[in-house]
Parts: sequence; C-alpha cells; structure tokens
Amino acid sequence: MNVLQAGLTAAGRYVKAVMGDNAYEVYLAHHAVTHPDTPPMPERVFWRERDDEQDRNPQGRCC
Amino acid sequence: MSYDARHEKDSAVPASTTAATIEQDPTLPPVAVPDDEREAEERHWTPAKIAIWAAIALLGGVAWVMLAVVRGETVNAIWFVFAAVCTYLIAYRFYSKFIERAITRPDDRRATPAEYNANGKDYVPTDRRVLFGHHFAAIAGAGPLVGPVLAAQMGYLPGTLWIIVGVILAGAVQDYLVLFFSTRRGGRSLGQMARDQLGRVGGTAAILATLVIMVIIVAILALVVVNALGESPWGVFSVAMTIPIALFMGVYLRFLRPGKITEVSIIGFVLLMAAIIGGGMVADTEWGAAAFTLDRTTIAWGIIIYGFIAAILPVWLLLAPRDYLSTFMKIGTIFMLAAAIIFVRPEISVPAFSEFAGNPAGGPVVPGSLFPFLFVTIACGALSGFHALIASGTTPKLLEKERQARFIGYGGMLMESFVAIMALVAAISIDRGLYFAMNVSAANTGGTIEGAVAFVNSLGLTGVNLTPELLAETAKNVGEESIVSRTGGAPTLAVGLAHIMQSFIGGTAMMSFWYHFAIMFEALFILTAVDAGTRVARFMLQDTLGNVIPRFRDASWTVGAWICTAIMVAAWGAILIMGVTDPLGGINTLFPLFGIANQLLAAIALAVCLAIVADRGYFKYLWVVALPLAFATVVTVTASLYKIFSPVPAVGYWAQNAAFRNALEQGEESFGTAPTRAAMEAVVRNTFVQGTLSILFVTLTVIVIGIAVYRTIRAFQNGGGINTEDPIVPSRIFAGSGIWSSKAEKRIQKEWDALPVERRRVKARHE
Repeated sequence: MNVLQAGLTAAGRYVKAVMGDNAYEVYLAHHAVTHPDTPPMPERVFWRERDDEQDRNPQGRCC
Repeated sequence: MSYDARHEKDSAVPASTTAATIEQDPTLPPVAVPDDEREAEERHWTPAKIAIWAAIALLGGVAWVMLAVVRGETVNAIWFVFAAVCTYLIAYRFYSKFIERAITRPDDRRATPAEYNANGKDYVPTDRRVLFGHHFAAIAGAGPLVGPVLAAQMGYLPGTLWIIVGVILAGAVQDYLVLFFSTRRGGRSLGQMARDQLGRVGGTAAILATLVIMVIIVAILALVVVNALGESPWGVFSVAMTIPIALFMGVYLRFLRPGKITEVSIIGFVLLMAAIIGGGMVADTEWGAAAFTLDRTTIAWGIIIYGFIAAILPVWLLLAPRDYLSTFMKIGTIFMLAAAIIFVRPEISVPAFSEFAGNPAGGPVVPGSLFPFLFVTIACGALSGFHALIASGTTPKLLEKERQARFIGYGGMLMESFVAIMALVAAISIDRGLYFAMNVSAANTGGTIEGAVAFVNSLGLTGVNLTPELLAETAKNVGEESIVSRTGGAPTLAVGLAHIMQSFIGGTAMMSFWYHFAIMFEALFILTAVDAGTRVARFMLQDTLGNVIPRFRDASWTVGAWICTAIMVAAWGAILIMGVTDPLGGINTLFPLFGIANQLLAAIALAVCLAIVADRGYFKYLWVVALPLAFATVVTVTASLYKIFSPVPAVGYWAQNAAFRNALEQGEESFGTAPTRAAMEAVVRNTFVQGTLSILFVTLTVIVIGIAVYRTIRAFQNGGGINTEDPIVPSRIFAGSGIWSSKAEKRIQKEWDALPVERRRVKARHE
C-alpha cells in the first residue's frame, strides 16, 4: 500500500511539474541564490509577469 | 563583423577543439561523469544486459515478420506495438548513441544556456524527465493523429514502415541535432541559426519559408477541425464550450488561485467531460439541433473570427488556459489509447498493401502515387520540420545538461512516432468499406449513404462489401446524423478510437461519448496550434516588417500587432475558405501541400545541421545528416514537381487549372465534380493559389539547400569552417542524462546531495 501511495504521490508531483505548478518555487530558489539581498516578487506578481511574458514572446505549439 | 568576414577569418580553424580548456571549480564535486568511467560503463556488457537486448531484438523481429512476411487474413494490433517499441528501443540505444559519439559529442563540463543565462523564468535548468514531458507536449498535436489515417488507404505496411524507419533515421535525428546545436548557440532559433550558418540570402529564404509554411499548416489544421464539426451539432456545441471553459480557467488562474495549474486543469477537464455529455443532450433537442447544425463555411468563418480575437486577447485569458487543458488531455488520452490497444488487441483485416499502393494515380482519399505522396501524407510522426521550431528556441533554454539532448530530442520524437502508430492502428481497426465511405470527398459520394455505398463498392476492393445498414448503424452509434464523407482524418480516428474504447470501457452505449471525446481532443490540440501559430507568425511578420518600418518591432504598439495579426489570419483564413468551398473536395487536394510544407521545413532544418556538421569538420559522419536530407529533398521536390508539372489533373494543380479553364472557355456549364460555372471558376482560382504556393515552397527550399551544400563543400575543401557556437562557460551543476541514472551518475549525485543547499546551484553568470 505504501509503495502504491508513494508511486501516486510521485506521479502527481511529476504531472504538476510538467504542467508548471512549481514555477514560483523554481523562481524563489533561483532568486535566493542570485539576489539574496533583495526581496523576491510576491507570488501573484510572479504569475502575472509569467503570463504577460507569453504575450511579449509567444511560444510555438506544434501540429 | 559580417558573416563573410567571419567566415574568411576562421575558415581554417576546426571547431570544438577547446574541450581540454574547460576548467571546473575544484571545490565542487564533478559536474560530469568522467569520460573513461562512462565509456567503461556503456561498453560493459553483462550477461543480463545481453539477454535483455537479445530478447528485445527477437520480439521486434518476430513482430516485423508477422506484419511484413506472414500477413495472414488478419493481423493482431499488438504486433504493431511490439514492432514499433522494440525498434525504437534498439534505435535509441544504438543509433542515437552512435550519433552522440560521432556528431554531437556533448560535453557536460560545458554549461547550457539554461544554466549560464538562468533567470528563474524562461531560462531554467529543468529536470530532464519533466522537460521530456514539456517538450513532448509542445511537439505532438493533431498532426500524427491525422496523416497516418489518410495514408491507410495504401494498406497498413507502407505507413507503418515509413513511420518507424522514418523516425529513427530522419525525424528523431533532426529533432536531436537541432536541439543540440541550438543549445550550443544560446538557444537561438532555427531562422537565426540559418542566418549565422548560411549567410543573409540563405537565412532570409529560411525565415520566409518558415513564415509561409506556418500559414499553410495552420490553415490545413483548421480545415481538419471544420470538416470534423460540419453538420455535427454535438461536436459544434462541445467544442464551442471549450471557449467559456478556457475563459473561466483563465480568470480562476489570474484572480482566484494563481499558479494552481494542475488544479484548474482538472476542473477544466471535468467541465469538458460535462460539455461532451451535455452536447449529446443538446443535439437531441429540437432547438439544439437547429442552433448548432452549421454548414462548413459558417464554421470556417467562426474559426477565422475566433482566431483573430484569440490572437489579440491577452494570453492569460484564453490561450494559456486552453494550452494547459490541451497538455493535460494529451498526456491522458495517449496513455489511455495505448492501454486500450494493448488490452483490446483488435484484429486488423486491412491488407498490407492495398489496391491503391501500386496505382500511379493513388487512391480516392489522397491522390498521387505511393512514392512520393505517402511520405508527405505522413509527415508528423515520421519527419516533421515544425519540430525544429520547438527544438530551437524553446526547449534549449530549459535543458540542464548537453548530454540530455539525446533523451529529450531523439526520445521525444520516438514517442510522437508511437502516437502516429497508434493512430494508424485505430484507423485500420474499422471496416475498410466504412473507412473509404468516410474519407472519400462528397464530390464522389454525393454525401448520401446510397452514393457512398455505390462509390465504395465500385472501387472493386477485395473483401469490401459496404452495406447501407453499416453506415446508418455506425452513424447512430456515434451519435451523428451521417458519417459519409467526413474527410480530414479526425472523424475516422474518432470512430476507430470509439470502436476500440467501447470494447475496453462501456460497450456500444458509450461509443457516441468516445467518438465526441476524440473529436474534442483533436479540436482542442488543433485550436491551440492555430492560436499559437497565429501569434508566432505575427511576431515573425512584425520582426520582418521591422526591417523596413522599425516601429513594427515595438511589441507594445497595439496597432502594429493588430495589423500583423489581421494579415496572418487573413492569409490562413483565405486558404481555409478555399479548402472548405473547394468543389474538388478540399482536404484531399490540400493535405499533400501540408505534408510538403512540413517536410520542406525539415529539409531546411537538416540543411542547417549539415552545414554545422561540415563546419565542425566531421565529414566521415556527414551521411547521418545527408541521408535524411537527401531523402526529404527528393520526396518534397518530387512531390512539388508532380504538383506543378503532372499532366494528371487529380495530381497536378496546373493540369487541373488548365482543364477547368479550357472547359470554361468552351462555354461548358459543368465539368468534372464542379456542377456550375461558379464552381468551375473556384477550381481555377484554387488551383492557381495551390500551384503558386507549390512553386514558392520549392524555390525557397532549393535556395536554402543549395547554399547549405555549397557551404558544406567549401568547408570540406578547408577541412572545417566557421565555429558559430557560443563561447564555453564551465558548468557548475550536475545531472544525469538518460531516463534512469547510471551507477556513476548516482555516485556523483550523492556527493552533490551531501553539499550544503546554497552551494549546489551556484550560477556561473548573473542574469
């Protein structure tokens, strides 16, 4: 049962990572290393920026 | 410095001789597995390893024998799965490894752009397995689901062989090389790489070709959706519902719970299922049927207007949430389809080679002889040039280590090829008479059951005896008024999928659900590709116009963005309307153009790779690129020449054009499948546009390939050429390279895990 649970948790984590749920955590980790003295963007601002960046720089989707 | 000046200056310097100069930070654990250790592990063959690979080879061999040699009355679908998967495994382990040793020669001591440009947003070193999912979601869409269905008219074997052999020698090679070379060049796009490698003329031709090709691809994908939704109130309702669902998801993510992407995707998925079920109920009511039964021209206009609005709305409102939904569905449905085929294992009664395989005029679904037209009908899944646009520019900015490019690039494309094989299996698992009744254009069937039965039975196919009852019953089972002449591949795949899924879950009662589920996900993939394609094409146009009127480069200039969006939408919209109203049937005349366009792009990408490999001085292994390039060039140029010069009206655009012009001059009131003079004029107009596009494509491609070959010969004479790689930056991170970590990788990873957290990811350069 534990193996199954662990497997499902891992699968869930994987799907979330592929979908991009962890983007803010990734940004925080990056920020903590490169700009330890400045406060990072708040979460809401970060997601807004991320969406708006796609407006400025669209990504292709294949057929 | 100009391109040519650089070329002269560096022409005698062989590229990548600097590997020895990379110095790693001595205070960190190793950033790469030492070469000798990795070599020893790769070349060490334990008995267990030998036994596994022997078993894979044996199983694959048996499967191929069953498909290609035994060819009994029926063949079980499971052999397709075994033949494909075993061949992929062997190609991945041995051929892509060979390419890695011979051509790409990755060096994990070099930082990738994701590492040295890391900004926490678009340049992010990403876990390789996660990136595999990202990359796959970006490259795979409706393409591999459509082409194999149309090619099934030739029998199962030609398509199967081309999908599997094509991917390992051409498609996956292209994806891998473009990904790797772009990574070495800061993640530059294909167009930029073409300019750097081939000079101004070659670069401009490549960018122009990309733009035109993008337009034609978007138009034909949209045509597939229009054909699937025409006269189908259920389909129109449920696909239309994706718009409010996406808007809701967009608002939810923007204002309610930012960042909860998986959560909102699950909510969206549930709503989507409700929309499919609701669509059935709505279509059953009188008002629902009246409101949502739309003819194809109306739907085409709907998609054009929608395409324009979607491209100018902010991304967060419509495009991004629909993209999430599409990714979510993609992963889910592909696993579902694979599971269903493995559990149900349908028996296939389609012959290996059909009556049309040897016919120079081809079959009624797509015209033209097997060579070259099979190879352009199936583009996605075997060799897709469009992938070069994702493999350059997008994915390289996320790639953690150079050595992972093989898993992501080559492996990702193998996965798409497997999707194509499953689509083929689904399409050939349905009755053959039914297949032709669905895929022959209304110009031949008259769109009626009687017409379809008469036409299909007149084809003289062995073992085919189509009855009106079968057509009526299938239509009823899938919840449609009629399934005659539902061309474009998507409805056939949907019937095939419904057929397989209903014996897996739900029985006949569920068939209509599965059918509309399949139509829904194909429409979702395609509409996402249409939106994204319009936006990317608009940006390319803005960039190009910016050379003349600089203001167009300013992305915040709304009027400029709107003008460029309108131009791009008008361009693909015109081709779409042309396809929808075409008296000759539309998809069967236009689909070859889609495949040709896609593979011409592949030829351009491979030509750039050829020039790069030559400039690096690896002439002994140039054939790895030259072989698929030569094949793609021969196929696409031959197909284009057929389309331009063939005297057979069904094949040659200009022959058709001349025949109809002639008939008009003779004062005829109807000709061929065109019932009126207006329809005849439409054919003249359409064939003129199609013929002109064919000439444009082939001219641009010949220019690019010609320049690449010239540069390659120059490089050969000089023993190498310019080095267009970015300067080396030593890496300061470690990660494994394949799907599973090797022994050495695990050992090094342990050393990294023992480091204090803040020291693990030290950036080489500040953003």
